[in-house]
Amino acid sequence: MAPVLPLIANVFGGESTRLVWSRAFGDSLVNSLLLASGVATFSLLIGLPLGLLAALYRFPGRSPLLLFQALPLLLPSFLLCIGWSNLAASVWPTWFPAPSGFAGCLFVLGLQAVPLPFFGTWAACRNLTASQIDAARLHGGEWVVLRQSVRFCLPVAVLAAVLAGILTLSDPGAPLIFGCRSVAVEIRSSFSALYDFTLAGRQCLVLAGLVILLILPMMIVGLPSLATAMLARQTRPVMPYSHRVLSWVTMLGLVTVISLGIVIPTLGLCLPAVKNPMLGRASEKLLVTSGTTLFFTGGAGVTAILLALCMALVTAKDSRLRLFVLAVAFMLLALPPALAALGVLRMATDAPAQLDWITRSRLSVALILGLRFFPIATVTMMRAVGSLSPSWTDAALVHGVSWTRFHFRVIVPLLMPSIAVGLLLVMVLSAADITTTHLLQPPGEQSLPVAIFTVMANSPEGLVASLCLVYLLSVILLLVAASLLPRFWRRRLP
Amino acid sequence: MNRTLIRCRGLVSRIGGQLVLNGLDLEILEGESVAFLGKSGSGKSTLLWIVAGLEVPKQGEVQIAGVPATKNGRMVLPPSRRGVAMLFQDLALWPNLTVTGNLRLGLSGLRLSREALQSRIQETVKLCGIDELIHRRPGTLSGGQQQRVALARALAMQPKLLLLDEPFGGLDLLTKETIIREIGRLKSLLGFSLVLVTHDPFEVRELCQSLAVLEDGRIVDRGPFDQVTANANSLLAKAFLEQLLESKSTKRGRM
Repeated sequence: MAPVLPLIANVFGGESTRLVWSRAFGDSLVNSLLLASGVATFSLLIGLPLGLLAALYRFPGRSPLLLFQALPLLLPSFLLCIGWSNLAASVWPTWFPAPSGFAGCLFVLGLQAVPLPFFGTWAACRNLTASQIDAARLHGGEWVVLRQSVRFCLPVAVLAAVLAGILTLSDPGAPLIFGCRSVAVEIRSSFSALYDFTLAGRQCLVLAGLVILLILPMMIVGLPSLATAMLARQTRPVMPYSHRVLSWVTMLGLVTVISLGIVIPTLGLCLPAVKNPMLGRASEKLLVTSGTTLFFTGGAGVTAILLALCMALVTAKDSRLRLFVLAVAFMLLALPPALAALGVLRMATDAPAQLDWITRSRLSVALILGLRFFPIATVTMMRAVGSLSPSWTDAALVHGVSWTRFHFRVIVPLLMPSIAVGLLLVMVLSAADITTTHLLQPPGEQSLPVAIFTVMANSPEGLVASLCLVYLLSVILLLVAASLLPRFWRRRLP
Repeated sequence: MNRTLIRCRGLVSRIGGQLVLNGLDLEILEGESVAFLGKSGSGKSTLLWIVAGLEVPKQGEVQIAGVPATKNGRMVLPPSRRGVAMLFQDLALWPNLTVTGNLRLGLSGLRLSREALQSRIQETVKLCGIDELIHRRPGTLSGGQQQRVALARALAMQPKLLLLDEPFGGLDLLTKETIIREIGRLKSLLGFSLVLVTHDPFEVRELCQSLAVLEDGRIVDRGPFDQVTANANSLLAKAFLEQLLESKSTKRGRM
């Protein structure tokens, strides 16, 4: 939150003559709120039943389908919108409305948000014990199982869907491409088109205030149930059950959501790349941006994981502190990314030139991205630390093993799979955060997603599509690596 | 006459606002084997944790061999300097280390020289009969083998007192009997004191000479095995005595 202070100081003492509350900004705010509520409802209606079915029933292709279900969440929304726009421009039937405007945004952002309530429900359902489900099944069959599970998972699913809605408030990608007014686009235009830093700062603070207003009651009411679902418990979890009809319903549901969320937009991305492949220029761009992308995302990953690891170890024995850290983490995640980025920009302007190495460098981008996605790493690390047996630490205490030796020999090696998964997740998510990177990147240093975002308006479609495909493939590779790592480690550790 | 190894005075402990130990007094002599009996939640494990130094009571004092270990809600002697080892309910073997790795890390607090450390490990694995398992990880061992490794890790410290917190729960009867006899043998050989928390009369009969019965955070019966079972004050001690007699007759019948 430190970078926000200079931003606040600038907002009250700034020189902008424009009013923050213009008609356009008001309309954008209303539009954004409607979009956020639509996304939350849409994702809840699809994510809750699907998450429940996926946790309770066995179905063909379980592991890959669950893996690909997470993919839309890890991609910037503009990538999916480009895919849909390409389809609309070439193979779309004239009698069917093409995705654009508010409805297009709702459709794409809604599908992109489905993984949050889906995995929230899935994680909550995994906290039900196998015997609770067996008892419900013996008492009244699948109907009772589903009814009881919905009651148990509903609070978590609602909270996850609301969080998904709030996150869309700060995403300028989809509204920009589909031509929909949104507050995130307004902030971006104030900074990049009007060059009015003070106005952008004021708009950003209004949005941040709104986000806090929305998320605060959610934290107060629902945090304990969210914490129970997110953090591991040592119970005998539900074993997926084979059911002739429901297993197929689950599989078909997941295939439909994955097709609409990923496969069809990817086909849309492929079309111009096939018609007019510009692999030479695409690989040139890739070579120029790959080092910077790796530095930004890798630095963000390391920052987030180190902080999260410390936080998880410090809070391991104190459930109240854990709850507090989780609340702060969710609050930070929900805040608009432009807030910290504009704050750092303000700091960079006021700071002496000797501090440029930290305020106007690759390092500051990596640090701010790491801090932004530190909540994701925190949840991953808290889950992992929660699954360690407390008696391992007690045994080390009785034997007088030093803290550092015990952590380096036992705890960190046992946490390695989660550390690796958390690192990869933060890397992918920070690559997708174009707002922070776009605002903070030093001159001449562009990450791949920002390069795509900046060239998409005035470059050949073939080049944009080729770059998008390369990016998509890299994310898929990282996701597959993240899913295989724990298995690899488990094999090494009988 | 044996000297007092552990002396607890007026221990008071609360967990989540609930009184678990309520002014408890206890003495354990050098070389003595005591079983703590009591209903669930009577404070047996908490007492064990306090003696080990893993928990600090709100009030009261713990002395180990005459040296204050915990006083007035403050830890004076850290767990590693109390000469106490513990066999945990889930054994607490570090799963990513081999058997030797577990022993080596367990001894790291003693700061032995490389040679002394090596010879201590060799001596202990031979003593506990696990010399063929030293390169294996706990996850690849059977329940009985894991018990032996946990015991070896505890005994490698050459403790004055071994605390056992219901460690035989997951074992089949035959393995349990073997392990318990093995602990008995090692106890007579090495001469450490022993405190056992259990609900099983067989474990008590095989390992302990005296009993301490806990009720509502205090010790209500304490003394040599025969004395407590003959003049039991608490219902639990009476029930336990009946169970013990029953298990003895069943065993005789089987023979």
